[in-house]
Amino acid sequence: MNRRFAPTAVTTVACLLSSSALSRLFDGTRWWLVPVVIAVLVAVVTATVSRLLRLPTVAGLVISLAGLAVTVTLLCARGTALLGLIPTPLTVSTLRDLIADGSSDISRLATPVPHRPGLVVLIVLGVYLTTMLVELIVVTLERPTLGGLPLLALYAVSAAILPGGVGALAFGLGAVSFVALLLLDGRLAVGRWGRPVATSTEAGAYGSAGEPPRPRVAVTALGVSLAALVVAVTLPLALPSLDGAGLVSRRSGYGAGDGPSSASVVQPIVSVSQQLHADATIPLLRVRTETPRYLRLTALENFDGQLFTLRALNATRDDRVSGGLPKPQLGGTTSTASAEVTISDRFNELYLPVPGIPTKIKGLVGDWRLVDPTGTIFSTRTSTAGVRYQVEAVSPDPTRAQLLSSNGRVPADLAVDTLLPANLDGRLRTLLTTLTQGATTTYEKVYAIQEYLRGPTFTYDLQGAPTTQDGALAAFLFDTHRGYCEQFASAMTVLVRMLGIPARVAIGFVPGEQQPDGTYLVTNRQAHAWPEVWFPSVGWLGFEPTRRADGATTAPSYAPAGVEDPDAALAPGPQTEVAPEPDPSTGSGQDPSAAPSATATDGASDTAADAPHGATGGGFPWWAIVLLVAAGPVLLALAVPGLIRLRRRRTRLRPGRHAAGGAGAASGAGAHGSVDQVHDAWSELLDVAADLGVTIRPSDSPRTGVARLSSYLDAEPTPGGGPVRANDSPAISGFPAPDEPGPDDDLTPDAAPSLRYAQAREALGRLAAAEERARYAPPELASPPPPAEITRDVLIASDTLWSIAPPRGRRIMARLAPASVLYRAPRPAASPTPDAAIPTEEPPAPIDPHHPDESDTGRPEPAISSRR
Amino acid sequence: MVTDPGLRHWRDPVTDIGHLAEVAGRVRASVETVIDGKGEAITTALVVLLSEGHLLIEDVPGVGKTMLAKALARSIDARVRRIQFTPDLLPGDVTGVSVYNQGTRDFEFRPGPVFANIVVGDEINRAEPKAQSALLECMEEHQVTVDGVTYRLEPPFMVIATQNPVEMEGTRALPEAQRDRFTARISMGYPSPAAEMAMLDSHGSNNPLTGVTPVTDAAEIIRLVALVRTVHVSPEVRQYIVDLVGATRAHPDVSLGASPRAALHLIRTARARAALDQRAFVLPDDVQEMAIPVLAHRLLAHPEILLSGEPATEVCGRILADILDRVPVVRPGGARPLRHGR
Repeated sequence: MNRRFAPTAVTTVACLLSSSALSRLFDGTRWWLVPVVIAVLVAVVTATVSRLLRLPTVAGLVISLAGLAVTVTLLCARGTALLGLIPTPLTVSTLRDLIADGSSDISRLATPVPHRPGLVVLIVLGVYLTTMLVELIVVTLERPTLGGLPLLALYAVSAAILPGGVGALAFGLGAVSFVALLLLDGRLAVGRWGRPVATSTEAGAYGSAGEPPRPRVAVTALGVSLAALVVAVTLPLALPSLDGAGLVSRRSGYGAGDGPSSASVVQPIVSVSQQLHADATIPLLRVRTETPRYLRLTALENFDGQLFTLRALNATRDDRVSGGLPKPQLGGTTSTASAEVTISDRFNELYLPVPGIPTKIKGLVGDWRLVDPTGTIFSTRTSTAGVRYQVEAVSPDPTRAQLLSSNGRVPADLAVDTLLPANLDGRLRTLLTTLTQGATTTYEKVYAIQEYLRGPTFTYDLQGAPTTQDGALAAFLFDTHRGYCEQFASAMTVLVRMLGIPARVAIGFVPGEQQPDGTYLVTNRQAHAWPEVWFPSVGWLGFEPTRRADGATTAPSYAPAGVEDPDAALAPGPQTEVAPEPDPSTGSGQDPSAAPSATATDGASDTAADAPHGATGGGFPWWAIVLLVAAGPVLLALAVPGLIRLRRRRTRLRPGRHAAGGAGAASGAGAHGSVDQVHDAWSELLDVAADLGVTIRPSDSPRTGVARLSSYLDAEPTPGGGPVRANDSPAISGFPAPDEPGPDDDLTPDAAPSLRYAQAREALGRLAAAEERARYAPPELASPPPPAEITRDVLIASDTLWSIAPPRGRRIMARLAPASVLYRAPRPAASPTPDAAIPTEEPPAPIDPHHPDESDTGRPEPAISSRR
Repeated sequence: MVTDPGLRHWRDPVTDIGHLAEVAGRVRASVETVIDGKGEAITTALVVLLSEGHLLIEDVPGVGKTMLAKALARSIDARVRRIQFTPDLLPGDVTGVSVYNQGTRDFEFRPGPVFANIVVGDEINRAEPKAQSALLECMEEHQVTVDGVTYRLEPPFMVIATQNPVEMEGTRALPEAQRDRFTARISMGYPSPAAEMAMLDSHGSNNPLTGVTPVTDAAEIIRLVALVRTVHVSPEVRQYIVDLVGATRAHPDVSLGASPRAALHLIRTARARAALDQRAFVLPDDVQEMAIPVLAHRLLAHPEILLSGEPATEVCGRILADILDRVPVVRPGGARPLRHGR
C-alpha cells in the first residue's frame, strides 16, 4: 500500500510545501493557508478516489472539478449554497462577484496583501488547479520530475513580484519538495525496468519480505541534494547582494533591512533616529529656495503599538514621475513652494525629499515613481545619492475658519490611517478625554493635543529618549515626558487616531540652516518626524507637537503654538490654517474597527479596514493573472501536439481524399485504390507505432516494420505468433496464411482477443504488402487495394495496437504528446491531392494494357508472398 | 529504364515467375536430400546460380562444403568439372594448355576443367596465388585466353569454390581481386543436433551423392537467368543499394569498402532473391538479405580492429549489420517518387 500511494503522498506534500511560496505575498497566515491546505487535500483526494474506482479519465476530471466547485463554495460562499455545499445559481453569481473583486484587489493592492474574500477564491482556484495538474503528471502520467513545472509556476509568481524573492524558508521547502519528486522519479524509473536487485549483503536485510531495502544510492542522492540545498540557501547570505539584503550589506550606514515593505529595506523611523543620534554632523542636502519648508520624504501609516512603519510602496510604470505628476486633490487654500535640491553622496535613501506634495519635478534621472496617497517619490533601483533636481510642491494652507468648518466623512480608503492596536494603555483614553474637554470640533481637539505636547510638561531630549521597546509610548506620555520628534509625532498620531481621525507620521527634514550663499544646508541633525492629520475637504495637514531646542520646529500658522510660541505664524513649518468642525465619526473612540467605516458593510468589513490606496497596483497583479489567464494558453499549447496528430489522422483517413477513392469509396469493393492513399495509410501506421513507442527505424522496410508491430502484438499472449523478423523466412508470419480467416470476414467488436490480434496482424500484413507494392513495384503491378479496405485495415490495426498499449498513463501521454508529432519530422506529404473534392468515376492512373490484374475486377492480388 | 522492355517480354509474369520458383524448389529439394537443415545456405546458392554469379563456401573442414557444391552441381544436367586446388597446382591445370601435336605439327589447345557449366573448386585457398589467379578472367568475363587465343565459355557458367578460413593451416588468403569476383560467400555452420543425427542415420552407410539426379538442365537455367534479369528494381531500391555500398566505403572500421562490382552483384542477387520469392519487383528486404553474403567477403577491416583476434568474417558481418541498421530504406527528404521517373 505504501508503495502504491507514495506518488500521491509526495504530490500532496510537494503541493503543500510549495504553497509556502505564497506566504510573503499575503499579510497574515491563517486566512489563506487554511483554504490552500483544504484545496490541496480535496484535489488529491478526489483524484485518488476516482483512480481507485478505475473511472475513465474524463469522469475523473469531472469529479475533480466538482470537488473544486464544492471546495470554493464551502470556503467562499457557504451562505449561498444548499446545505452549505451544493452550489446554486446565487453561489455562481456571488463567486463571480468575488472573483471580480479579487481581480480588482490584485490590481490595487500592494504586497503583503491583507485578507480579501475575493483573493481567497482566486487562491483556491489557482492552488486547486495546480494540484490537479501536478497530480495528473506525477501519479497518472508517472512523470514526477515534470510535476515540478506547475510548482515552479507558483514560485515564479512570487519571485517575480516580491523584490526580495520568496525567501529562504519557502525556497528551502520548495526545493525539498522537488527533491522528493526527483526521488520518486528515480524510483519509478527503476520500477519500469523491474524490481531493484539487492546485493548479497543487503539481500539478507529484507529477504523475501518483498519490501526492498532503501538503496544506498538513494541515501547518497538524498544526502547530496540536501547538502546542495543547504549551500544554496546559506551561501548567498554571505555574498554581497545587489539590493543590500545580504548579511554583508553595502548600506551599512542605515542598518540592515528587515521590513516587510516591498520598497524599502530601511525602516524610515529607525533611520531618523539613527541620523539624529549619529556622532558626526553630515551634510545631506543643499536646498536653494525662497520658501523654506519641511522636506518630506514619506509618511508612515502602519502602527504596531510601538513603532510606525511604512506601508508597502507600490507604483506601476504609469506612476513614473518622468510621465508628469498628477494634480493633488486639495481643498481650501494652498501654498506652493519651489526648491532646487542637491543631494550629497552621503544621503543614500530611496525617497526623494520634497517640500510638500510634488506637482512638478525636473532634472531627475532614473526610474522614480510617485506613490499617490503618501506623496512619496521613490525608487527601488536608484538611490538618492548625488541626485539634483528642481521641484515644485503644494501644501494645504487653510485658514483656521476653514478648518473649523471642515466637515465630512472619512473615506473608506483612509481607514488604514485610523487603525490602532487593541492593547493600548488604558491611561491614554483618560488623557485624551482630559485634553479634549471643551473642544467641540475635530480641529479643536487636534489642536489641543498639539498644544499639550508642546506644553511645558514635555522636554525635548535627544539623549534620554526612550527607545522603541514595549510601552515606550506610555512611558513617554506618563512617566519620563522626555523625548524627541519620534516620540512627539507618534504620540500625537496615536491620540488623534483615537479620535477616529486619520493621522500618520511624516518623516523628512526641517528646513535647515541658511548658508552665506543663500542655500539651506540640511544635515542629519535636521532629520525630523511630524504628524499629519487628515481633514475633510482640506487633505493631509501637518502639525508640529515637537518643540525642538534649536527652535527649528515652530508650529504651523493654522495651529499656532499658544502661549509659548506667539511668533509661530512666521515659522517656515507646515503651513496651513485651522478650522475644525465636529466630525461625525469623531466620537467613535479608540476602537479601530468602529472607525469611520460608515460605508463598510457587514461582509466587507475588511474592505474598509484595509482599504487600499488607489493606483498603487504594481508588481502584485501578476500572480493570479499568471495562474489563471496563462492557464488557458498553456493548456492549449499542451493540447496542440495531440490536435495536430488527430488532424493528420483525419486527413489521411478521410474518404475521397484521393481522387481514386471517389465514387467507389462508398461501396468499397471493386474500386481501384490509389497509391497515395496507400502511402497515407502507411504513414499513419508509422505514426501510430511512434506514438506507442514502437521503434521503426528508417532502415526498416515495410515488412520489417510490420514485423516489429506484429511482435508488439505478440507481447500479448496469443496463439500462433512468435516474434518475427522479416529476414527469418521468406514469408512474414504476420501475413495472412491461406487457411486463416480472410480479410473480408467481419470484425466483430467483441471478438476474442486472439482473433482480434490475428485480424490485426492480417491487416498489418496487407498494409505492408500494399505499401511495398506502391513503393517498389512497377506501376503496372502496384494495384493498390480499394480505399475502403485500406481505411478499414488501418483502423483495425491501429485500434488493436492502441488497445494493448499497456499503462493508462502511457496511453494518455501518447495521446497528449504524440511522439510522432514531437520527435519525428513530418514526412513530406505523399503527393498533392488535386481532385480530392471531385469524385471521379474512372481510375486515376491509366492502366497498362498488359497489366495482368486489369481483368480482375475483384480485390487485387494480395502480395505475391502470401500466395505461396 | 531497363526493366520495361524486359517486362513486355513476359508472357505472364506471374506464371513465368511461378515456373522459376517451381524449378528452384526442385533443385532445393534435390540438394536437401544431401544437406539437412541448411535452407539459408541453399537459398543463397540458388540465388547465386540464378544471378549468374560464383559462390564461395567458406568454413571449417568437414561441415559439408564440398557436399553442397557437388549436390548443387549434380542436380543440374550440365557439364560439371571439379578442380582440387593443391599447393602445386599450376594455372594451366585450370585453364588448359596448348600442347604440341605431332600429327598436325602444331600447337593444339587442350581445354582445362574450367570449360564446363559448373566448376567446383575445392580448397581453393590451398593453391598458389598464381593458380588462383587463373580463375580471374574466366569468372568475370566468361572466357579463357591462352597463348593469345581467347576461348569463350558456354553459359551457364558458375564457379563454386570451397575454402577453409584463413586461420587454418596451409591456407593462403585469396587476393582481393579474386574475392571480389565471387558473388557471394556463405558459410555452412555446424548442423543442428537433430540434423546431425539424421545425417548419421542416412549417410552412415552409403554416399548420398549417388542418389542425386539432375532435376533441371542448363537450357532451363539460361532461361531462368534471363527471366531474373527482368525483375523490376525501383529507383528507391537502386538508391538504397548505392547508399549501402557507399556506407561500407565510409565506415570508420573499414579500410577497403565494397566495389562497384559489388553493387552490381548485389542488385543481381536481389533480383534473383525476389524472383525466388515469386515477386516481380525487388524489395529492400531482398537487398538486406543478400547484403551480408554479397558484401562481407569483400570488405577489409582495419588491422587494429582485427587485432582483437575476432575472425575477419565476423568483424565484417558485424560492420555490415551495423550499416544495415543505419542506412535508411528511403532517403530522408528525398521523398518517394511515386511514379518513377519516366
